[in-house]
Amino acid sequence: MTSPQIAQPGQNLVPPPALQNRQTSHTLADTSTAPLFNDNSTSFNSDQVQQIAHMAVQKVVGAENMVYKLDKVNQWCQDITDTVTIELAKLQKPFKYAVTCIIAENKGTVLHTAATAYWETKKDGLISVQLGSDSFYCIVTIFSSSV
Amino acid sequence: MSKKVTQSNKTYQIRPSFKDKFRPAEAKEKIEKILREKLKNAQYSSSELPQWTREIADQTKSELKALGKDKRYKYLVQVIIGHNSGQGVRVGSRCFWDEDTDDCTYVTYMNDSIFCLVVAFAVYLY
Repeated sequence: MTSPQIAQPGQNLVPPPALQNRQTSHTLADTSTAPLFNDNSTSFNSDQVQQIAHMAVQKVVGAENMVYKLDKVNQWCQDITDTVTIELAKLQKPFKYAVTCIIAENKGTVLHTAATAYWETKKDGLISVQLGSDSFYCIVTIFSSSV
Repeated sequence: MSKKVTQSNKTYQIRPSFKDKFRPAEAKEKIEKILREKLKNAQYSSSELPQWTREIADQTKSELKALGKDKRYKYLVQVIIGHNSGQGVRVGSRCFWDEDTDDCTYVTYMNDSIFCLVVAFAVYLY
């Protein structure tokens, strides 16, 4: 019971949103109602992140009859990574994000990717989303590392 | 004076010291060396590629750790290898992090048969 009281004066100083979230989640966890407030939790939510990645890819290259174009790919790549990072930042969770996007022309060739990380496996998360069309495929990888 | 600070357990430090900061150029050199050794005259083979990607990723990670930078750095590595047959590939990345402490580096390697890209991020844990 003492910890929320200590947290109170700190909130008067208006900490950054990420810190505010963290404090509320601590008090929620103490009352064991944490699962009800999953959206406020500061932990990595892979579903949420995956959805964001999906949405961003659909928004930029999801339209039908999209064909790989050399002069457009640069813009697509930038748009996808931008949208993903902005949406992730809006979650206001105490994470740092690194987003990579690969758009490769589909000519029947193979592309292999592997990702490894040296981090806290319990807190941090890695999400990879792959979507493809007849003309190209798109792989978005999101590393989120807790602060 | 500085010796005293490093010996003490309580430094209340939230940033890597100048000496222990991640240097992209330094890491780039190491990764380039790995790729040169691993993929010299490599030919595309669908059975071996998955293993190479994983091996390169693991080696890169351990090289980054061996750089001996601040112990609170986290390293994220992504490796992309593909058949070089004239198709177009575009890779982009964007990060949401602390510009001051975190950094990234990338290395590309290409020969007639395959292309390879390694992207490494170093993220500081406060």
